[in-house]
Amino acid sequence: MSAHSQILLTSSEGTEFLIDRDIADKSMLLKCMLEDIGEIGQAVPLPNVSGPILTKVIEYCTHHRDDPNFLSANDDVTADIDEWDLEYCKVDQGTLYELILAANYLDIKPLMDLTCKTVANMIKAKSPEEIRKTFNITNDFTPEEEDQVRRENGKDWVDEH
Amino acid sequence: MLRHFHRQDKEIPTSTSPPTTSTSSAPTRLSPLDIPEILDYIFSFLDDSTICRSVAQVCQQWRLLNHGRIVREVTWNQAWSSSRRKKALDRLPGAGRMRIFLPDKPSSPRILDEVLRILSRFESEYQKQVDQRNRSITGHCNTDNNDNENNNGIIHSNNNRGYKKYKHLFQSATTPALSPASALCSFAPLKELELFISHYGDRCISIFPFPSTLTKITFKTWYSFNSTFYMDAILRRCPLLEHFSVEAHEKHGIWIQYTPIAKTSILRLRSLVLCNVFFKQEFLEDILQLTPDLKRLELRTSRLEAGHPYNLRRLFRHLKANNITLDKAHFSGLGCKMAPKDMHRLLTEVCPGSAEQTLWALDVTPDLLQSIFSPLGTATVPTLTMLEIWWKPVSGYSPKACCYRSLATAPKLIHQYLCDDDSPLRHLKTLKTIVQLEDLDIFGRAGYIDLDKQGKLDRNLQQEIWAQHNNASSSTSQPPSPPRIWRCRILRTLHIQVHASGHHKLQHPVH
Repeated sequence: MSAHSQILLTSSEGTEFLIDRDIADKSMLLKCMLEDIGEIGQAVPLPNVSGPILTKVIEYCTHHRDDPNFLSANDDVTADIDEWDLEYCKVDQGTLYELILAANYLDIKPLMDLTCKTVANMIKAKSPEEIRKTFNITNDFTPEEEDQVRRENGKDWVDEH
Repeated sequence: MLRHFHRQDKEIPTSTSPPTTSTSSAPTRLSPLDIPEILDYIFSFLDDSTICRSVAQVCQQWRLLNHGRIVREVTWNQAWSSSRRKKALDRLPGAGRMRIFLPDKPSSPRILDEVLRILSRFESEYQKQVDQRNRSITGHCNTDNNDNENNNGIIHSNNNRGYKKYKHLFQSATTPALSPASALCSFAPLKELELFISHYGDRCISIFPFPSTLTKITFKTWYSFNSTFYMDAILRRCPLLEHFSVEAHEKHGIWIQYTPIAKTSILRLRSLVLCNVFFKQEFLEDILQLTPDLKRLELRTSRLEAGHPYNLRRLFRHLKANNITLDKAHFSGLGCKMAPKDMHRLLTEVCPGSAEQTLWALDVTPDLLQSIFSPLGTATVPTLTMLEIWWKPVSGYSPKACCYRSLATAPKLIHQYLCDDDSPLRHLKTLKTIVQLEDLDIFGRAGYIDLDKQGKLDRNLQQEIWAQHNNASSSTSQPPSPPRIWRCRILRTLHIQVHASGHHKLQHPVH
């Protein structure tokens, strides 16, 4: 198997993407599949990933293709996000969601961590109502439940200093 | 390890799904927030405070997903009014973490009784539940289960000292005041306890009914008066303990008494931190034989009973013999610099691959930094990315005159490493104790060497150091600007912990 071989991927719309094998190997799904069945000379269909999202995923994997710490890049929960990664995630919410699903489907842990961390950062420093608004979530608590939850988890039990 | 969640084709009912009319033939776009596993993974990047104050209050699903993640905390402070203290204790059932502060010299030796009383009730209720569970499992009634030593199957040695002895004394004094326990039939056990006692005396701990459910104990004291701390009694009493920290912040320190635990026992300890204590090395090694899961070991300015530092070479050999590889370690004696050779062994043998190292400012010398960031004789890439500096470990301690030179050069050296592109250092964490306003420029070249206003710093020596800096770092008559850390090019995070002047007894740390 040549280290410089290329793999053809097909997005959900049928768009074809020719990428280097080492970039494809960033996805554990593709890596394991290619190791198991070998390069079959046909396009690998990715019915769960659209063309624009696949383009973004390939952009990410290409940028990090020579990163020796690729698999442990985002292990540190408290660490800051790299500047390039920060710019990469400046996309609309729908694209970010699609990236999470694609990273999950293709099994690319660093991309999964990066995108999930970005969503986590969107949650931080927001009130429950602001979070509901940001993520279009319905408040399904009854007034009594809401009051109880607030008492259990809110300022009422945090001792003021 | 990535948890790989399969995308579901069917729509799942969640609070994030907008109402659909099903008139469109287009497939419903699935949000990752609709997949509980992914949502849970996102929450794992959030801190406890955000989870409690915001996330858990968003909707039912988010609340349920975080149910196991929320650790409710209750603080009890001696300085509060009695009604506020009572209010705090009323919130204790179901809390996972309790913080107890005695910041002043107790006006009455019985000031803690209200806390002791409720913790004893909790322990009693918990033991009843454990007994019931054991009976239902084994079908036998174990008549010895009124005591708690054997219930969790971890420690099997007899405890004829420590809590059991004091429990009797305590209960005889407080039982009449107990209210009916029926209200406590169901509660989540207390897991973490942080205990700060300003004026520590032996009795405080010996009568303290540490719940046997604890997995984490942090004990801090200010004035210890050479008191004794019975470590083995607590280890026996809390068999689930994973994190144990004993810290004295005044120069006299605490003497740790230890009666060896049976070699057949296994402790769950993953973290052991001893700050400014006197503890025999053989006792420490005895504990290490029982802690195969230990990942963090810190002996900050701790020493042997005679006041001598630990024999680190022997200690490292002992760790290796017991197959203990640490993720985080720190060893320092009061006023004793760590030798570069010992540091080298620490980094290559005791905690290889560690990303974090903690140093006392006196240890920040060119040799030691060189041994940390460019390990001698090793071809491996240094993995350290975070440095934690303790500027002054205990109150009332003045380093020897020669040590001030290390203190004076430490910021400059760290600054150099932080501005050196080859350095792996990216994160800096530091603690500033008892600050005065003029000391806030803690990374100024000369400001912080005067950080202890009570210390007997030689003014001539200070002026001499000043003069050396001015001559060495500037050819002009203008004094160099201080090498402030926030100007360092590659620094990504800086964490400074400040204890405000006037509230310096650690009860209100400002992060």
